[in-house]
Amino acid sequence: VSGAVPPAKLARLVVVDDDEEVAEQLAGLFSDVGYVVTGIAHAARQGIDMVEQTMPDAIVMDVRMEGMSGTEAAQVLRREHPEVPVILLSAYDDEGIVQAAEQAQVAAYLVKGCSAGELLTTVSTVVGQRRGHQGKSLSLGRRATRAQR
Amino acid sequence: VRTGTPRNALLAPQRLRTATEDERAAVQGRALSGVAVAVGAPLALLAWLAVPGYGPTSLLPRLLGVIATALLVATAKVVVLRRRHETSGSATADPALEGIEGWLPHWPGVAGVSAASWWAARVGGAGLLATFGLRSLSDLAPGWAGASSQAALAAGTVAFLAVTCGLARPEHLLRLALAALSLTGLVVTGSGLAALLGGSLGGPAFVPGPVLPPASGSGPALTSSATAVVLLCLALVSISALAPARVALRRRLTRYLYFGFTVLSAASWAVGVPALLLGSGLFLPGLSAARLTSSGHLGASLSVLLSPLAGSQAHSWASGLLAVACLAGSLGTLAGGTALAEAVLGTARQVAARPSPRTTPRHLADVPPATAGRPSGRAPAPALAALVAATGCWAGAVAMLGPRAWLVVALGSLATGALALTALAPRGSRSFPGAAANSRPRRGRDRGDPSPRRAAIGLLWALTVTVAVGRAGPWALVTAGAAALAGSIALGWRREDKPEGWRLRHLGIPWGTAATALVAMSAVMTLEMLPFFDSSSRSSVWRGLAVVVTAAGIAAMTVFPATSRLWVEQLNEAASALVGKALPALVAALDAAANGELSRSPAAEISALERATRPLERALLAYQGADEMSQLTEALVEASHQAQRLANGVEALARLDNLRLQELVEERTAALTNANRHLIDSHWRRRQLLDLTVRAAEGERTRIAANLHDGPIQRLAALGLILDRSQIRLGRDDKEGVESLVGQARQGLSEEIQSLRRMMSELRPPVLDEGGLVAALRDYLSAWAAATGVEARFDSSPYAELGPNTETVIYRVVQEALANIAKHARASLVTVALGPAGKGIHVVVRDNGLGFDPCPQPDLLRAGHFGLAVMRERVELAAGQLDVLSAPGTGTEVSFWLPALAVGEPAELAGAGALR
Repeated sequence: VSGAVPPAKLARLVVVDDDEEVAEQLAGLFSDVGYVVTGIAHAARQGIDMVEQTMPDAIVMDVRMEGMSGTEAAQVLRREHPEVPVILLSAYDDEGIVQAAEQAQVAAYLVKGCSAGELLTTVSTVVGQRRGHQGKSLSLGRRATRAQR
Repeated sequence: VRTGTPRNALLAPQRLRTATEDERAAVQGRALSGVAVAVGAPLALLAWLAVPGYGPTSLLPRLLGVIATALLVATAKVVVLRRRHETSGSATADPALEGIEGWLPHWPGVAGVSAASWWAARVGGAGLLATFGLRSLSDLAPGWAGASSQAALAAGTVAFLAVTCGLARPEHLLRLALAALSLTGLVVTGSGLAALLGGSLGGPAFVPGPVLPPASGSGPALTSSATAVVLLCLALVSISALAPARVALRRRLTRYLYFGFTVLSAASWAVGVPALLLGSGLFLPGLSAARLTSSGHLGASLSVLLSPLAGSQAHSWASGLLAVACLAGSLGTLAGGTALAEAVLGTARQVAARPSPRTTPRHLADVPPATAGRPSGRAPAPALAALVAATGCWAGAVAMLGPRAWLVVALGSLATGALALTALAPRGSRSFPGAAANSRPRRGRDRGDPSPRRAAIGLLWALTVTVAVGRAGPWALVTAGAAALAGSIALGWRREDKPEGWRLRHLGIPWGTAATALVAMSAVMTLEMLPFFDSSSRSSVWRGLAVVVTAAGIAAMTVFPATSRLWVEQLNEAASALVGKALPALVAALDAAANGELSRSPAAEISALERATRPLERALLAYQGADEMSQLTEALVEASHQAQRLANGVEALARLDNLRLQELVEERTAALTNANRHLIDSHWRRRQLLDLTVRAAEGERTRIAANLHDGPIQRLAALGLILDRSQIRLGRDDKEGVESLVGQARQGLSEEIQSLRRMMSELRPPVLDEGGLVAALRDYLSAWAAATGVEARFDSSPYAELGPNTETVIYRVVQEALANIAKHARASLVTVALGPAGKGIHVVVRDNGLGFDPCPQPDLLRAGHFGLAVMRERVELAAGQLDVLSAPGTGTEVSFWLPALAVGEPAELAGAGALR
């Protein structure tokens, strides 16, 4: 698994999970493979704040959390920060939750218990897509300002 | 028995209202009757007097004239009756006219004859008495007397007998006699006045009879005026007896008239009789021995009797006694006459007031209702006594004075007395037409119609009197009268077989009179046959004996009417209570019942009836003869009993009246509503609990799912990540990093195992199965205390082995109670106690927290106190009982009892539990 998908250079991630250990391990995993984890949050609202503060390349977020759920947070982010892709990582693989995630137009939906390689590949792909997309955006000159900022 | 009780009265109460119409019709009928008599009698008299002379040749035209007049009057009356019958269609209420009316459809055949005979009876009686009057006038005014006076007397007697016994019905006797008496009075008055006027106008002077010597000094004027007064009084009596219009008068007015009339009459008599006596020479100081021996027979006899007592004054005493007796007798006759008139009028009133002769049982209808004005025969007892006394006194006076001129007066007095006796008998016992058929045969033997017997007795009596007067003279009359009275008394007295002693009972008038008549006749015959009858000394003895007998008779006669009258009054009272009060009340109650109104009770009237009937029952117990009084009493008592039974029925009916029914319905409705509410409550509670159970189960699942999500899955996901990271670090040969991660994984696994175990333990505490309830509770309590920081005490006494289900219920309920305490009570001390109670276990969970206001189960659910509700439901489902004792500020005590063996748990399980 290790190194199967090399992480994008200096890609920045925010990890959100109400289970501290899971969040810690996720952050550790991402750090281990070369990502910059700009924030670890244990609640959705906190995660959104961190996104606004650090403008990461992606946010990896649990679905079932106290207060706001991951899906709801994804919708908020989609509205306010559409450039930050959301990767949902949930213990459920129920069809209803997956559909809700799709409606929230998340970048990826992963079920907890998946292998680290799978997770990292997805993150890498999402970040890569985001980078490419951002390039286009930059050419348009609109997102660049924000990116520079 | 003809019990034409208005069966349809319940459905048609207006039927009862026809009584007033009947009454009006009856009054009209009686008024017509009075008019007919008033017109017919003078006509008959005129016909009688129009024929000159007396003798067989003149008698026939007189009789023909009388009969023609009678026919005329009868025809008029029948026509009137027929018209009334046609117009009103209602039955006439006058029983005396029923016969006529009954024959109406066949008129003028038999009805005409019947009516004619009835009227012939009246007019014939009048003729007879007119004959007597004329006969007496022949004594007073010799110029008027003819050779045929004896023949007229005989003819009149025959007519009287024929009329009395043959043609007239028994109930007409009374009226006939009354009418005759009255007419006699009228005739005598008229004749006397005519003679008086004739004398004063220069015609032949009024000459008293041969044995009535002109009073010295006073002159004929005094005698004439006295006679006139007496005759006037007689006339008044007669008029009063005949006056039909009095019926229509108001009661109070009638009473005043009656009173005034009585006073006037009494005053007249009080003045007139002494005047008469004075005029006749019976002036006490001027009484001479010669006059005594010649004319004063009775006075002489009395003085002979009184001489041992009074000595030389014996004659004066006798004269005084006679004077007083005459006065009393006069007054008595007056009172008797008026009483008789009143009795007859009272009869008429009762007949008038009778609701309907066709619909009322005869023996009840004949009893005067309380509202029928002056009751019949209600002449005061003293007046009746005086009347009876008068009968003898007057007769004695006549005998003493001697002249046959007074025969008519004596006869009148006797007749009055006899009629008064008849009037004493209760009206119900008088046989009206059909009464015999209606009277119930008693003791299996039919006593038959008393009317023929009565007629025979009347015949006998009349015969005796006639014979006695005609053959033996006044003395025979006196003897006969006295003997008749004595015999009546002797036969009439009844001994009552009671220890209370002698009681005077009803005088059996018919039998008494019959026997007396026989005795009197024998006496007359004996006196006539006796050779020493003319001997003056022996005749004096006989006369003295007659006086004694008469006096005894008079004395007795003053006594017996009282008891007889008492009984009559009791009968009257009971009958009034029955007919006037109880029956109308019953009818009203039944009418009301028919209209669905059952609250009306005739209890008061019935108890009054019972009170009135009780003396009659006692009388029947004491004496139950075969006479009319007993018969009537028995009938009345039985009728009263029937009415009481009916009233009992009505009462019983009333007991189930609407109110009670309504109460019953309300009671039932309330019970039903209660049950229904209970049912609804219980249904609602069950639904709530089902809801709650489903929700709880769902909540439990959700909780477990959440626990799984938050617990094992996260841990395992984290472990997976750790393993992944270890693998990455192994690839980088980061040995230390791997070791650190493996250490973390090891720790995570341990924690996760522990967490899972805890979860499992919560789902089903293994200690409950392994260590038992006490251990499980103790563990849970200590864990709970540790978690909440509340001091917890546990107390357990040995109890019977419990079934596993029971243990689970206890454990869960205690768990719930503790959870509630932790959530709401803010307690500092909690005690859980277990102990045996009956065939089960008693558990108490007590805290010293805030407490609350416990409310009933449904309200608990409504208030959303699911915890308590669930606890209670759990306990009750296990056949136990849970109580919550709490009040704000006093903490809470949840105590519950459960049977050792939960419902549905087989006994082996408990046994198995016991083995553990």
